[in-house]
Amino acid sequence: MASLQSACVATSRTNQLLCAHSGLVFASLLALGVFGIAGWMPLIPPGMSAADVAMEFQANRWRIRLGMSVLAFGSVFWWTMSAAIAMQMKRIEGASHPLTYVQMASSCGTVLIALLAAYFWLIAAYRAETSPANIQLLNDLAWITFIGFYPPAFIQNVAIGWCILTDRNEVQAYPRWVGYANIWIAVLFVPGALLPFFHGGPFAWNGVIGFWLVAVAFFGWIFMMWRMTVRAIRNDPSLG
Amino acid sequence: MQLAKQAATSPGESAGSAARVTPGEIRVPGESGFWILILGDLTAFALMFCVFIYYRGHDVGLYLDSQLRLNRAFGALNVVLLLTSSWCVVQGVEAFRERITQRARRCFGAGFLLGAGFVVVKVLEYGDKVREGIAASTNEFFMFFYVLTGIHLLHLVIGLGVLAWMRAKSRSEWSTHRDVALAECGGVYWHMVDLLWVALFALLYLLR
Repeated sequence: MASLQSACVATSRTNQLLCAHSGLVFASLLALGVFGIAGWMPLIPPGMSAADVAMEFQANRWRIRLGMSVLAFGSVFWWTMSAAIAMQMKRIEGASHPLTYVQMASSCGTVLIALLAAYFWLIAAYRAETSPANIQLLNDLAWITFIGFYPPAFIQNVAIGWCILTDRNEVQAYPRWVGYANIWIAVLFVPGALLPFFHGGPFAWNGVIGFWLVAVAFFGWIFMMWRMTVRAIRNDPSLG
Repeated sequence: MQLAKQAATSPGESAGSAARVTPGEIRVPGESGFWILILGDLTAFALMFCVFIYYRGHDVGLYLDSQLRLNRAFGALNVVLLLTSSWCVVQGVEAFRERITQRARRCFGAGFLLGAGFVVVKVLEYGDKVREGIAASTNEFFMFFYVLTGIHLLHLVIGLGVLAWMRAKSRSEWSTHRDVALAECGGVYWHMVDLLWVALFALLYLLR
């Protein structure tokens, strides 16, 4: 009986670690698909003419289709990473764990963002011969979804941050600074709200604030949460 | 970190001793982790200030002309309001630490009212600008004006919430280490809002 129990614990520990590591898979596949394979670095500027946007999709249709398939596939790993974080939040909150549910539910929003954007781009590449205005619209739909769709990520970070800061357990799952960092990064996502107002400049989807600040915060967040969640799993007393 | 640990493990103890520091020990106001939020936010604003200066460099004339259409009196009045408010909050945190509850409550209340005064002045200023037909789309300078002051205003409104919470918290004479540390965090946050406005005032209203 005891050995059966310890076998379950070992399995749980392995699965939790796998889920935590999958955050890196998410980040890698996203970067590979969008920046690497589709080649959008620099990004397609929001001020580009419809004819030029259509040209981009006609000339690179194969790369875009392949890159977006990679992005769509990679997006599911946000769920697995969020599940690893959810396990630690549940450990913090105990039997009654509302914030764990908030976090897990809002993670669906971020998965949806990546999936929707990937399929909008896929469709644009699929019908690259249609009128340039249509291609431009699909492209706008994808970029504004991809970069400006911040509310789910915002609430996910706030839930994690709040949970960490209210941890009253003997052995704390995460250090408190991780809680504050989560709230700070949640705030950094908010300039995404400015995206629809600009076709160029620092607050547009390819701007210093609109893209770079948000992207650095996003990838930095994944790296931090990966490191800290792996650490939390390793110091979890219930996992031996 | 030391303080945070103390605060987490001894919630039942009274306040006051949180301020005591043994010689050679470095004491961080609030708790050390909180400074990630403060320094992080300041970094993000610093980035925005650099972006502003960079864009300004491409069309200095436009920025100088547009700046003349701002009302410096509003900006300067807000500097005075926030500096005074910050002073009240310093006094409040000090009283809170010593558990002089009535004084702490009064100080936080005054700090809150002065902060609310900032919002009123800001609304009057935005109203003036809108009546003159100046919007964020007018030109690049006003895009920055609305976005930067808007983001700052958002921070300030959050700060007002924090001050209201601190005022409510100072009712009790049984404040713990943790409460004192949290009140210090709130105070630090409010000073950051103040500091950012001083920088914004210089950049937007004064820089020639």
